[in-house]
Amino acid sequence: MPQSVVRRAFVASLPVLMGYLSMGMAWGVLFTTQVPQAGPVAAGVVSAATISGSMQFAAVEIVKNAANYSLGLIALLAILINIRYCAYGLPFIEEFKRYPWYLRWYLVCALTDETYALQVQCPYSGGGRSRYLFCIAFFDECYWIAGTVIGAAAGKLITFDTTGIDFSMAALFIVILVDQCREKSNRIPAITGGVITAAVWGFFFLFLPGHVNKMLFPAMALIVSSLLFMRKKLEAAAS
Amino acid sequence: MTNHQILALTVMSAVVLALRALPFAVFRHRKPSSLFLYLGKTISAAAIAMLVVYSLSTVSGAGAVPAGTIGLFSASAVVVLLQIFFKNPLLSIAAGTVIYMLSVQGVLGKLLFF
Repeated sequence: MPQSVVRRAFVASLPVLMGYLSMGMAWGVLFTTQVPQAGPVAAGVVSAATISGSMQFAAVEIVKNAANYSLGLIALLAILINIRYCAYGLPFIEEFKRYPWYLRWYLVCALTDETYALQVQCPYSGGGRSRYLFCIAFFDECYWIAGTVIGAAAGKLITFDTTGIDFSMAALFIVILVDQCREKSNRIPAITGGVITAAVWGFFFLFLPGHVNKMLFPAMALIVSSLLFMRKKLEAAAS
Repeated sequence: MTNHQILALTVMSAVVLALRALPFAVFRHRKPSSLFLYLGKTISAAAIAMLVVYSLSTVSGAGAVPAGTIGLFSASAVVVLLQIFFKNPLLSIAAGTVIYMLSVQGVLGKLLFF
């Protein structure tokens, strides 16, 4: 592998190194403090198999109270949280067809928000391009796994009172939402999702207390149907 | 971990990987429909907003009045403001979490009022 391609990919990935290491550590601490049976190995396995911050932060609550979540609900939640990944593959479909199957599958499975953002800015067009894409995906994955394993080990050593540390999960989603809302076209969908979920939560809190964990099905159904209902207006506003 | 916990994690990563592979399997020969693209674009923000509300409702100690509730609102506001102005995710998350932990453990109340 020519060294310059590796080096360029590494330098380009440095901002992700900072972000993934720190965010990964935050997740690792949360995971092992909330799910005491889990340790650094479990954290590393989950990270390697998923490589998705938003999914893994949501997974902490799901694993902690696993009895409240049926597998169907978990699958639906995962689809809703990560449906954006479907769109990321689109620009690469033609290009990846030319790559050997193992490289194609690795690049597909290692796709994340940050990796995608770096890959679409790949400075190579011909030779070196597939290597560059691989290095970006591989480095980013290593940063994420390393961060979560370090965090998980740190979480095992923490002896002070960690009550309330699960707020970091809500905080991560708030951060993602604030960043998404910088783009105007995301604001109405965001408000729709938030208001509907708050309303459904209020309904369950008042009339079906004790079943609040079942609120996600109706919330998701209402959100998707209202987005379909508003399609014409939203598309007209976007164009 | 129990079997259900392991199954839950397996389902989650399987779905995530399937979503990443979906465009390569389905859209190799035909273009995605406009409805699919519309949902792909709009569901993300709506789903994250749903997770914000839902995860706030599951945070431990959030139901304790007033420390939990006040802590929840003030910590959330701090996260929003820090993220708007400084765009540093780790700073926003760490500051919000520390504020919430201090308030729900009763430390913040003692510091401010006694």
